[in-house]
Amino acid sequence: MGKGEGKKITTSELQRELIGNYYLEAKEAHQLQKRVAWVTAAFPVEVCYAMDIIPIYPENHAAVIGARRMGQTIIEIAQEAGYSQDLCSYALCDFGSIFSGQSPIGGLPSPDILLCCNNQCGTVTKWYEVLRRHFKVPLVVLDAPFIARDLNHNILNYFKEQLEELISALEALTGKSLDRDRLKEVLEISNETSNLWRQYLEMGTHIPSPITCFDGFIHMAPIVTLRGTLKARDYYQLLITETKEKLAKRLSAVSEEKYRLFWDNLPIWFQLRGLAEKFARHHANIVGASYTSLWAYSFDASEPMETLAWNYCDVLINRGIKDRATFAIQMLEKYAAHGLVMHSNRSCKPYSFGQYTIKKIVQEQVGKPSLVLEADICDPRFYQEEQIDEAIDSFFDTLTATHN
Amino acid sequence: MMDGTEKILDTFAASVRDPFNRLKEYKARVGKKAIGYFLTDFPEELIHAASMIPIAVLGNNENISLADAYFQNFACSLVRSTLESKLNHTLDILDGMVIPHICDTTQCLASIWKIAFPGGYFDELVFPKKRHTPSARTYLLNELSRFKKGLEEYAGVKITDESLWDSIRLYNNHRELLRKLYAFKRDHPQALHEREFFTIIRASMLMAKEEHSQLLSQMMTGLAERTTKPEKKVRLVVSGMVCEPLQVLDLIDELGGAIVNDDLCTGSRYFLEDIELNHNPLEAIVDRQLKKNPFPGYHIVSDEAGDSLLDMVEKTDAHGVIFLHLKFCEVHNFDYPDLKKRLEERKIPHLLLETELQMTSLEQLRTRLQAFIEILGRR
Ligand code: SF4
Ligand code: SF4
Repeated sequence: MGKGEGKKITTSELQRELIGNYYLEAKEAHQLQKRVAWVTAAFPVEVCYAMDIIPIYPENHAAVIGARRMGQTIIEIAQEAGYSQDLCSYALCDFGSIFSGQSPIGGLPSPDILLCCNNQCGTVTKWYEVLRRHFKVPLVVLDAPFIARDLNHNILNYFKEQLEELISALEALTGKSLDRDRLKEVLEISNETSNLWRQYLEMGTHIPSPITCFDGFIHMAPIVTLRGTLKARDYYQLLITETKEKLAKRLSAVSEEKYRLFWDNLPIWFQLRGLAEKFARHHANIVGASYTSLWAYSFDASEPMETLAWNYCDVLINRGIKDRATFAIQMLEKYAAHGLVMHSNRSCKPYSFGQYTIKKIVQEQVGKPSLVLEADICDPRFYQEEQIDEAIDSFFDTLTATHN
Repeated sequence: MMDGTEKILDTFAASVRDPFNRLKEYKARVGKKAIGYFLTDFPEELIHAASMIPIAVLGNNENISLADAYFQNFACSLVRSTLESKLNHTLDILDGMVIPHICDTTQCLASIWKIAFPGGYFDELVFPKKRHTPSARTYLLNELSRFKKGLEEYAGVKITDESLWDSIRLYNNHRELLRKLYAFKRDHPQALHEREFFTIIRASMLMAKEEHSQLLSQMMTGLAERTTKPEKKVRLVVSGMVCEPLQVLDLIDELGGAIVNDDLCTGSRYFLEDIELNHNPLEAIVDRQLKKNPFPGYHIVSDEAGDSLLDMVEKTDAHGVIFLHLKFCEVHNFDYPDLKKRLEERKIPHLLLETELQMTSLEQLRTRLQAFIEILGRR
């Protein structure tokens, strides 16, 4: 708990405690008679929590590797094993860490089962196939077909059938059958937590904003990893209380907020602070991000399979560029933002290809500019500081010219 | 009048060099529409049964400039080149386009295409990424029914079971011809140059099947005359998406190699599996799609990919494997290290070549291929 008498715990202390305990429990899972599943970032993890299976997120671990600037060293280990530097660097961080044992948190507990949902990209399917060959444990892939037209019954039915296939696989693993009432409970908690997360993100709509997208990136760990648990719900309650206090004091996250921007794609983990400072220098606040909004689910616990299928098929990056451009325009309006900052993320092809087209559509439809930053989530070799600085400066030159 | 082998080979080569000029003439002659499709595993029979001509869009080796406004430079060159061809009007002769969802990059290509080129016939076929479950089969069947309906509406033609069976038979016969040709090439590696052989396959994707089938069977009767002077060749398996640039084939030839098996989309993958003539034609197409060799863009269960690679090597008694990958192709890059391991366990030599469609310098490729083929030749 907090240091001094009567001092309230802060979210950063609580997050350290939550995430610390989470990994501790996972490491002792086998003594606790619990199973460990490695899961992808947007997997219907409610099913795992309902079955007392501990979900572990290699993507989250990779993000930590990136943020602690261990990316290059660990990626190079994967490269030595034959994995191309052109692959998603989350996968490379995971492979490098497995092969060498290097990790900022002492490594991940090994999986009893691998669970992969391709609603975010095709990359994860191939990545988890590698893991399956390495760990020699079962792999369940949930195939969420790309929503090329509409989210139709063919897609939803296919997904629902796969959810039943998943449940059978987990029942075989644990030797217990799924308690469907427990699943509803977990979904309720997950829904509440998602709502809190959304509420938090929407605090960025205040002018001036008390939060930045960089805060969002830091606070997303519990909604990703502990979604469906009471701990995560409590965390976001505290976060909202904290943020409301800032709001009451009219605290602005960036001094003299002049420009408001919206972030597209994943963070550049090894440059969170650096970039935040660069934008703050221009009195610009990046008040929200498409990425963090991915975890703002909306569940109807009375229809578990239906609601899981809708939520996990209808992920923003499982939709086409036109839908994503529409989303960007909505966000620019909602957040009263002056433009977009697009991380053209070399790791993430499905999220990044199409950004040029989104930029064009946004410019044409609402006359707002976009800044494209060519970089990567974890590999600093794809981050050219000078080019980034130039791009940011010239973006603000244009922005200032149009706003004066 | 029967054309001789050489003349037919020239026809095929011309169609690969300049596919759309030839198509223009053909279209005018038969009065049909032509629909382009992106590789791979595309159920062409449905387009054919709707009385239209399916044509593969394979990209080309010209420089990319216009597509840079749409794609970052870390997209594979096949996708960038395909978009470039559309932007510079090379594809204008096509009446429509279908882009199947096989990887994250084609997903974005389709999405961009719809926005940049509104109007006209366009479809995105979203294949299931699983191949072994009943739920995936049902999904694919529904997806293909939807696709079929769209084709019927566009063409103003009903695709009957009968017309679909006719198309399937035409395609099956054609696939059998290509398999026979491959068998002949294996037995007589000196009779056909690598470039000639893969040109025949490419041409088959770029011409109407009726025309290609006829020319191909004619040509095969004449081929027997070429079976003189047996020559010892280094037997190679080539694995990848497409063989690009085509000069790689010339190099293999020149350096004394012969390709005896492959899993390329512009190779075996195109004609290995027939559609079984059973109960219902659409289901028969689905079953073929799902039983094909594992393409890495789909979910590969257990050790399928490695097993199938070893099988290719053993069945054709190959000396070594060339992984011919397009740069930035994620699905191949993920599979490669474990495939390499499987080969090493069996002491099968292998070589990884990463190429792009617009690659200009062949010197490095030559050096690496030469060293590889020489070592294999000494074994
Ligand atoms: S960064 Fe993109 S490609 Fe990599 S795992 Fe995440 S969604 Fe997939
Ligand atoms: S080469 Fe690879 S990345 Fe390119 S279209 Fe084919 S599968 Fe996709």
